[in-house]
Amino acid sequence: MAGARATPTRTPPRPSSPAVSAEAVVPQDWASAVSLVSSDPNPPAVLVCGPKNSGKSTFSRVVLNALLPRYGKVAYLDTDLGQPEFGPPGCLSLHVVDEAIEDLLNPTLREAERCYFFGDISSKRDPEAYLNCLFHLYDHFVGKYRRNENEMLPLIVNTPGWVKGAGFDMLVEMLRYICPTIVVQIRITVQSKNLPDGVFWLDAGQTGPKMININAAFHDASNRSLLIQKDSCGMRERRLVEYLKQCFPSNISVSTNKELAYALASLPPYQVPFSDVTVVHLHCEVPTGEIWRSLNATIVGLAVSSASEADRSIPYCVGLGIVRGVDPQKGLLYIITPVPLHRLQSVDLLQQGLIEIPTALLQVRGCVSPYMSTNVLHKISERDLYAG
Amino acid sequence: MAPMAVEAAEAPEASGLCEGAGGLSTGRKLVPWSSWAEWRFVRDGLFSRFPAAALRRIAAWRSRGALPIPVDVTATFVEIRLRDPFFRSGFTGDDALESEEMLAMLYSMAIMRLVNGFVENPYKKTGRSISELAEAVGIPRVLVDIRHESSHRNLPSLRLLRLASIKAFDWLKCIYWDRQTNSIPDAEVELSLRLHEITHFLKGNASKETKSGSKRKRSEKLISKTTKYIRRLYYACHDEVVFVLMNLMQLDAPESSESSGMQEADCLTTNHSSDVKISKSDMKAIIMKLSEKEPRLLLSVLKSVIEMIEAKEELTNKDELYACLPLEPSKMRSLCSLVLWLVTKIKELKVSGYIGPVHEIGVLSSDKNAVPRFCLAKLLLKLLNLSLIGEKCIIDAAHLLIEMVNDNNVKEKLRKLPVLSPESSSKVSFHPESRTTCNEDESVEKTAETLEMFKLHLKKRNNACLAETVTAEGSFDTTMPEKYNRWSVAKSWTPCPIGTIPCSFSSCAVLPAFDAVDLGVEVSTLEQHGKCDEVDHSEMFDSQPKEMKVESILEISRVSPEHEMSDIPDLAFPLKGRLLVGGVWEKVTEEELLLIKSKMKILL
Repeated sequence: MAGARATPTRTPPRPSSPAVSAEAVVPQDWASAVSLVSSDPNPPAVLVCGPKNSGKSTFSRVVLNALLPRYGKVAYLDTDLGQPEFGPPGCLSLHVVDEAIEDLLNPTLREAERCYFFGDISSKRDPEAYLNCLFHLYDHFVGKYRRNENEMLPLIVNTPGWVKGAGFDMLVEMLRYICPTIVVQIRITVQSKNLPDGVFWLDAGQTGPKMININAAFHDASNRSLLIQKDSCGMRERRLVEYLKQCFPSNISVSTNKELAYALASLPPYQVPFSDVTVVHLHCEVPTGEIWRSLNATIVGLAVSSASEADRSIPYCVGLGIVRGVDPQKGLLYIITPVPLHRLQSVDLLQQGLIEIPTALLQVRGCVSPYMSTNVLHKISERDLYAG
Repeated sequence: MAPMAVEAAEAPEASGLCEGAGGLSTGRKLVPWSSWAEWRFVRDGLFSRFPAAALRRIAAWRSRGALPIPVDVTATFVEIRLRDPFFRSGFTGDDALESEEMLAMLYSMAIMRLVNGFVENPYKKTGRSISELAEAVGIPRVLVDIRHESSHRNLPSLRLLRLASIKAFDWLKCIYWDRQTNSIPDAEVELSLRLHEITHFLKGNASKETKSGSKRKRSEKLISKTTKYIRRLYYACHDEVVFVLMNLMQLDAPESSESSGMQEADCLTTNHSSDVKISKSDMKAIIMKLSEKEPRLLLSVLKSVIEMIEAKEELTNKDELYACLPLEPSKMRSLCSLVLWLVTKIKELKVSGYIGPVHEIGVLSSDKNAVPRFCLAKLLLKLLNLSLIGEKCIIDAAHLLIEMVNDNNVKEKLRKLPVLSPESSSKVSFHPESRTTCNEDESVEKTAETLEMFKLHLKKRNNACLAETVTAEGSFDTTMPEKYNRWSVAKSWTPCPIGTIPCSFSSCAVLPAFDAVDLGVEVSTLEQHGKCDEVDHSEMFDSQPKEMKVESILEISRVSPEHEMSDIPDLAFPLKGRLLVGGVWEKVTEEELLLIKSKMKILL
């Protein structure tokens, strides 16, 4: 059944790279790994790891589709801040998926079961906060979907491709905390870029979970693994654009960036008084007098500070928004977000991060943001560079 | 260290071409500042003796991202110097760093970041050596050496580092701050240049009325090209453009023969009008030309004219104390006639279909000609609140506006207003601080009448567009539970670029007035402490609690009668029976409204 699902012949709307042929053909070792995972007698907790661009997300999607028919619902822990599977960039989230993924090559947007806004596209700025969010998500999963023997859900954990240095350390912490039942490691031909073989996160003598090693999906003629070269910056922008398109009902056509930019500029935003929200910057110190200036025309996480919940919990995020304007005279913030109004009412915390707003959305003729400036001097000109 | 560097994302620096100075460049780049004025404020701060405010602003810029490397590094140098006793001559504070080792570390790190920031990208691109590239860019050699020494060998001596930091600072000033200063477009100069071009063409056209068609076609083409450019300027530097237009409009008032008062505001335009002098009629022709393409420009100009009258009124009110009444009346009269002219033109555009009043601009309507009715209503309100309301031109203008807002009916109401009596010239101006108690009753009466008029007008409109209120937000608001909701959908929104807010009185956008609030805090602090030492106030700024600002903002929104008044028209649609009180939509009954009306004194 896994095989049937895993060979779709649909052409993706946007091929993520020329290296990827129009159709995704699941290689032999992947298919056997998938059937190994899906034949596990107990609901498995699968963690997929490997270097950047080796196909972790694609494999996770295949596994998810394979697990769905048997369990009906599959939990998915999305830990890749730069290229999340179901959420906008900068978010860590737990999803419960009950619908198969049609497009195996591209991520799709889905509502999260629980989400934390980390506010950056890499965990390097704050590994501690990153792991903290991650552990909270896992605890949430365990608390909700692993308590009752009869309603246990399988879990898929997709990890970031940062497998060296501090990234490796974080992966080890993650593995130790989650204790997956199956670890799938994707390996590429360049051995130095791979993770160590075996149960690298355990001390000697400890018994580990089932380990499955597979190779990256794409190969060139001499059988070396071909990495899916991604324009990650462009992908992130498109992701945010897709996310923001949800602000509009589907009967309004906002297919081009230009249309979306104009629609965003004219959409009556939500307003909230300064006094009703707390603003925090997740990665910088902003002087108190400069908060609104810092916030204007940036992307924020709309979070609920968790006074009512357990003490050690952290504010969870209901979605992202653009602070599209600030009115210091009236003391109002104007925010555009696809989050519906009734969910916004509980939002009392704006988390500012370093997720940059796609510039395509800031400039449309006759509606150019003041932050898109002309006549900006670049630090170095080509002329200087090649002179002498 | 190494793996971190591997993962490190590139700084969001585009490596496009350097745009030449003069005129608007076509390329745009994301920057953390909202205007060049803000950039200049930081530049002047950094190179002054009191950089604290500039450094705080740069901290805010950093939090937004897209901070150019030269700005980042300059700020770093300034900050390090503030802690280095060598540069702190005179100041002794607890934030001085005494450890030479620490200071040396800070300086070498800053220098390393400077060199890398400038050459790292090209280094990866071209593969040429760092020192080669540094030479091409013009980075002083000593900085490149220090980068090498401190990363691979011993930490250089503090003596050398201080010297190098001075060099680096000067180099940054020259290569970035000065060069950027020179390439900032001057919208005012640009605009008057273009305006003169157009006048020239127009004049040419007029004289060549009988000449061959091809020549006329050519100059028409040039005119439309120039008009296009002016429109770009208008979008880019909206305020400056309106300002210049206004100045030119006033410049040649027919009465100007008697007024020698031209010297104050007009020096700017006269400076640049080297050859052709733009007459008022030319100016009007140009504005008409522009408004064919950009009809809403008229609203912005009208708003500015009204504001100018307001400002003049305020000035006169103050001046009365000194009992000197100079040439103001003629100037005022010309402004008033300008108001009438503008309104007439708006009306003409409406008749000819260039302006189509709508109730609310749809999300995707890219209709440039749509002008929401509430903009006109708010302009009317502003007009009615001028103490000059007795002036004939203003009355006529008001009548015209009323006609446009809501075709007739209210006209009758306005006729009955006692306001229209001529002696009202000494009436209170709108600003609460300039009010005088003697004619308070009169003004209360006036305001009450206006309110009455609006209520009537609203009721009518409400009935008329009952069908339209079933928009998504409207239907939501009616089902809203009684409990307090912090989030709501903004009302009376007009499309405006992200990062700006709609202007309440015209359909253009305004930058948030952060400075107004800052200034308020500053002034109140100064009053509180009774000091005006510059060092002190920059320090005090740091310790300003946030609550204070919020408080003053709330106060503004609660007290200001303008808000109460201008928000009433919004009640028309979904928030019927609600009043914006302190930023919250409170439910009010008819009796309460009446009570408010009768107690208008409180508000004024």
